[in-house]
Amino acid sequence: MNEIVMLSLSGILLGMGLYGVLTKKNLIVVIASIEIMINSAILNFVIFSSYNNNPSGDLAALFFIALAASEVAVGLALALSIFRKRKSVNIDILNLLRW
Amino acid sequence: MLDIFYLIPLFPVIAFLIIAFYGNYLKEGGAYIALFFALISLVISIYMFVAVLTQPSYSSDVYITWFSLPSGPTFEIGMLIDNFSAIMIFVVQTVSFLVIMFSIGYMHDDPSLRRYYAEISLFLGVMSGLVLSDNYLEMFIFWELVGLCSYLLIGFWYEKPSAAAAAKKAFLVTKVGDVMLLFGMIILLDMSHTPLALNFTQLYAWAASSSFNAAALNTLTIVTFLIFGGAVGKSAQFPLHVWLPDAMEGPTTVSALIHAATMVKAGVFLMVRTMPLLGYTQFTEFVIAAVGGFTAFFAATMALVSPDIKRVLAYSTISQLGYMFVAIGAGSAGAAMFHLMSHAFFKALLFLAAGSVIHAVKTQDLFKMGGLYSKMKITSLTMLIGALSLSGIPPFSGFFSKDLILDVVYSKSPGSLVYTIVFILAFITVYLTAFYMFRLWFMTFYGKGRPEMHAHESPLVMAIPLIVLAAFATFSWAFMLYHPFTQMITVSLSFNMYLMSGGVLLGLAGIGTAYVMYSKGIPTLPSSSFVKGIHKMLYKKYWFDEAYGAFSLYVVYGFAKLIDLFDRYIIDGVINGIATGASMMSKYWANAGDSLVKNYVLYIISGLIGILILLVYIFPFVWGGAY
Repeated sequence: MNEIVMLSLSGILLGMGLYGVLTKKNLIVVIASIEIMINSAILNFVIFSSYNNNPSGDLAALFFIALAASEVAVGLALALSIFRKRKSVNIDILNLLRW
Repeated sequence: MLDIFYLIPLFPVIAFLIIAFYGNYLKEGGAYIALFFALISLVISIYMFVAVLTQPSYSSDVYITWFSLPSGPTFEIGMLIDNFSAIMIFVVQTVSFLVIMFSIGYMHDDPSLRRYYAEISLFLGVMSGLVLSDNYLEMFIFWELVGLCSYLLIGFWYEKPSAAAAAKKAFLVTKVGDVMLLFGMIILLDMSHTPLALNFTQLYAWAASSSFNAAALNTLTIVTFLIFGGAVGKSAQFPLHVWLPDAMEGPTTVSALIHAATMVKAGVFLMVRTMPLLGYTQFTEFVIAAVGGFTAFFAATMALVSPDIKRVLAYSTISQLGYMFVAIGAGSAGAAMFHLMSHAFFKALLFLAAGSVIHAVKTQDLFKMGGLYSKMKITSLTMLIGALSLSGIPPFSGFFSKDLILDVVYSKSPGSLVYTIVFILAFITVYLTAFYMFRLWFMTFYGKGRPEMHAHESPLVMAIPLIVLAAFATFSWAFMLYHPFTQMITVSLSFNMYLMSGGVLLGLAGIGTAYVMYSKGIPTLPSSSFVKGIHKMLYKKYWFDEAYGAFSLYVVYGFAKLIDLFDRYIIDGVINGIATGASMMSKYWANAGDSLVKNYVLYIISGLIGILILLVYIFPFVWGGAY
C-alpha cells in the first residue's frame, strides 16, 4: 500500500516533468522540467530499495543526484551560451541541427 | 657418442652469426672463419660417417619435444642418424668445405665478401640440419631455409637485373613444389596416427604394420605424389626445371654448392626418406620413374646447344637428377644415393673447374673460349676427369653409379611398358651426356687459342679443391668394394656385361661425335630447315620460359584482374552504396520534421511508449510469453 502511494508520487512527478518539456518555450523551464523527471526516476530507486531491503538502490540514488547536478550545470551553461548568441532562450527558434 | 652430432649444423650457423656481425672487421670478410667452422663440422661428419659405417644398418633417433597437442601427436625436433643421413652428411660437408676453400681464391675481388661467407655458412648449416632431420615438419623448416639461402645466393649480385630476376624465379618456382609438399604433409599427418608427428621411423613402422584398404591406399598415393611434387620443385625436374639454368646468375661457387651438395640434392634426399611409403603406391613410383627418365633425356637435349659453359652444366645436373629419380622410381634408394654421391663429387669438380676457367678468361661464352689446355693444365685435366666420370667411362665413379641405375631400371623393365620406356630414355641419355660434356671440353680447352685472352692457371687455394674432388670423382666407387658400405646402401655393383659394354660404347660414341664436330672449331649447321628448326627449339629451351610467362600473364594475371574488379566494383560497391544510401536518407529525414524541439521530444516519447507496449502486450502473445 505504502509503495503504491509513493510510486504514484513518482509517476505524477514524471508526468509533470514531461508536460513541462512538451509545452514550455523557455529553455530554463524545460531544463527544470527535465530535472523533475530525473528526480522522479531517482525516487523510484529509493522506493524499490526500501521495498526490497536492499541498500544498493539508495547508493545508486546518491550517484544519480550527483549526475543530475552536473547535468543541470551543463544544461544551464548551454542556455547561457545560447542566450549570448541569440539574445533569447526560446527553444522554438533553436533549429540549427536541421540543416 | 650421439650427443655431439647436433654440432654439425650448429658450427656453420655460429660461423654465420660471427661473420654476419663482425665480417667487415675480419680478413677476407670472414672467409677463414667460415672455412674453420666448416672444417670442424666436416671432422665431426667424417666421424659420424665412420661410426655408422662400422655398424651396418645402424639407426638412432634422438629428439627433444617441441610441443604437443592435448589429444594429438607430439611435435619434436630431432636427429635421425642412419645410413642415408651418414652418407649424405659426409657428401654435403666434404663438398661444401672444398667449395668454401675454392671461394677464397674465386671471390677474392668481390666487394661484399661478408655477405657471401655469412650466407654460404648459413646454407651449409641449414642443409646439414635438413639431412639430420628426423621428421617431415623439421625437414620442411630446413627445406624452406635452404630455399631462402639459395634465393639469397643466386641473387648475390642483385645489382644485375638478370640475377635479381633469376633469384625471384628460383624462389617462386620451387615454392610451387613446396606448397604441394606442405599439403602432402598435412594429409599424411591426418591419416597416420603416430605418437610423434610425422617422425620417419614411426611412419615406416606405421606403414609396415597397417593393412591399407583401397581408400587409404588412394590417399597414400596422393600423399606420396604431393611429396614428390615438392621434390620436383627442389630438384628442378620437369615441369619445374626452369629455375635451375637461370640460377647460373649467381657466383660459380654458389652454383657448385647448389648443384653438388645443398639445394637440389635435398629433393632426392626427401624421396629417399619417403621410400618406405612409396613401396605401397605403385602409381607414384611409375610417375617418379617416368618424370625422372623424361627429365634426364629432355634436359640433356637442351644441354646440346647451350652456348654458356655454366648452363650446360646446369642442364646436365637436371639430367643427372633425373637418373636419381629413375632409381627411386625403380625402388632402389641405394642406387639413387650412390649416384647422388658420385654426382656430387664430379659435378662440384666440373663447376669449380668451370669457375676456374671463368676466373681466368672473364667470360662464360663457350664460343669465345678455346685452346686453354696449354695455359691451364690442372684445370683442364681435372675437368677432363669430371667429364669422363659424368660420361660414364670406366674406371671413373660415374660409370659405376650410372650403370647401377641402368641395371636397376633394366631389371624392372620386363613386362612393364613404363620402365621399358624409361630405360630406353636413360640409355640414350648416356650418349647425349657424353656428347655435350665433350663438346664443352673441346670448345674450352682444345682447338685454336685466342690471342686476346691472357688466361693463367688459378692459384693454389683453387687448385687444391679441384685435385681433391678429382680424386673423389675417380675413386669414390671404391667405397663399393668395402662390404659395410654396400650393406649401408643395400645394393652392390652389378656386372651385367651387356649393359656395361653398351653404356661404355654409347659414352665413347658421344665423345667421338664431339671430337669430330668440335675439335676443328665450331661447325656450321647443315642448311636443311628441319635441323635448323630442331636447333632453334633446343636453343629456345622448348619455349618453356615463354609458355610460363604467357601463362602467368594471361591466366594468372587475368584471374587476378578479375578478382580485383570484383573487389573494386561488387564488394566496395555494396559498402559504398550502403553508406551513400544512409547519408541520403538522413538528409531526407532531417528535413522531414518541423524543427521544434518539443515535437522531437514528443516523437521520442511516443516511440518509447510504443516499444514498451510492444514488449509488454504484443510480443508475449506472439512468442508465447518469452518475456
